[in-house]
Amino acid sequence: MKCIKCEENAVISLSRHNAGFCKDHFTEYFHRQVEAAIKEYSMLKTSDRVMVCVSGGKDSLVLWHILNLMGYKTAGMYVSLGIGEYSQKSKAKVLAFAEKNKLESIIIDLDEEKCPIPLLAAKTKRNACSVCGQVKRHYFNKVALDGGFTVAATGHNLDDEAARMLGNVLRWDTKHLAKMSPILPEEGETIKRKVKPLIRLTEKEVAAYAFLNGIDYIPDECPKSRGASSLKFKEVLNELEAAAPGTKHFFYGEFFRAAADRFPYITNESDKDEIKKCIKCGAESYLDVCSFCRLTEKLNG
Amino acid sequence: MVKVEFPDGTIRESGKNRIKDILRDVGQNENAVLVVVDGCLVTPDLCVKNGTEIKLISVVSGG
Ligand code: SF4
Ligand SMILES: [Zn+2]
Ligand SMILES: [Zn+2]
Repeated sequence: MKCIKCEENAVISLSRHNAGFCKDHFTEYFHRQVEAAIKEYSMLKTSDRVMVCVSGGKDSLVLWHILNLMGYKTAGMYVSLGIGEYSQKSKAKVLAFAEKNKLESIIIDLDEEKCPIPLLAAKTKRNACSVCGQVKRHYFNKVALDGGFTVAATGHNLDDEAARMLGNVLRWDTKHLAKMSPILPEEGETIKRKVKPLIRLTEKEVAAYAFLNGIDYIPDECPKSRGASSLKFKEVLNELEAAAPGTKHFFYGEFFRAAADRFPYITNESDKDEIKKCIKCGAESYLDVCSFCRLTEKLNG
Repeated sequence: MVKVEFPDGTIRESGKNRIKDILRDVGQNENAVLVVVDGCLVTPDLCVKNGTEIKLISVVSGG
């Protein structure tokens, strides 16, 4: 297959566009897709200070790389979860990327904070991923506030979001269907605007971009993700995509035209009482002690 | 035969020559992997000679 633009050998074929691209023209296509997403949803302004939430995986490092190339003021924010070798390796990837590109990184190490995810999950008898989500949210909000960031960007790609949407549809989870947009507004002073600039790109396109541009990421998965239902949804969507190219884009994109208005976004602020400051950590909370501090209190119990 | 190296390091062989057919033969969806031959990414329509070694890189992340 030849590149549709220059007749060089193609390195990737995009069935939904019925086109192949060489390395240079694929890179150009990729950048245009990110620019288009940012523009379509008014995700970022040049004056923004962008906190890129990085995990050491391909998506977040590609996002950081590209936002930096586009001239946005970025810093990478990484939470080391205390999950053995996986955490050590992924942290090393983040630090190496930051150093190579002379970028600012902010590292929170849960081993140092004395609340690694496996310990928290064991003490609270909760699923590691649900504890992890809560802890990461707390530190993302805290670092964004303390660091003067105006927006938080994550590396979610089309496959991630189409799989999440499929899961939400299968459960008719209206609360989460209301939060499918690749841009979520800020709430209070703690929760910053959240954006997903890779939303138009598939997981395969992101991996190809990382490979072709020498972005060194951790290919291993978090060991806690084994058996995650999102992997099954991705597999099913890839089957459908192979049979009918463009299915993933259509499924995700059409939701906003055809159905999103039935699931209006409700901020946490609008349905609860007055917001206060947590007496232990200062984070915004509806109770005197925030949910993160209540969680970590269990470690001392 | 074409040698196929999976993301986890396991090796399998395929008697097909077109990448698309090789992937189908070893049960891989072409949207879920990148295919590397001699250090370069290749497209599914490419035909490779017997004895070629191809490497698969997983693109799917969980969580
Ligand atoms: S798989 Fe679960 S524990 Fe691992 S990073 Fe994701 S949410 Fe956290
Ligand atoms: Zn080209
Ligand atoms: Zn608190």
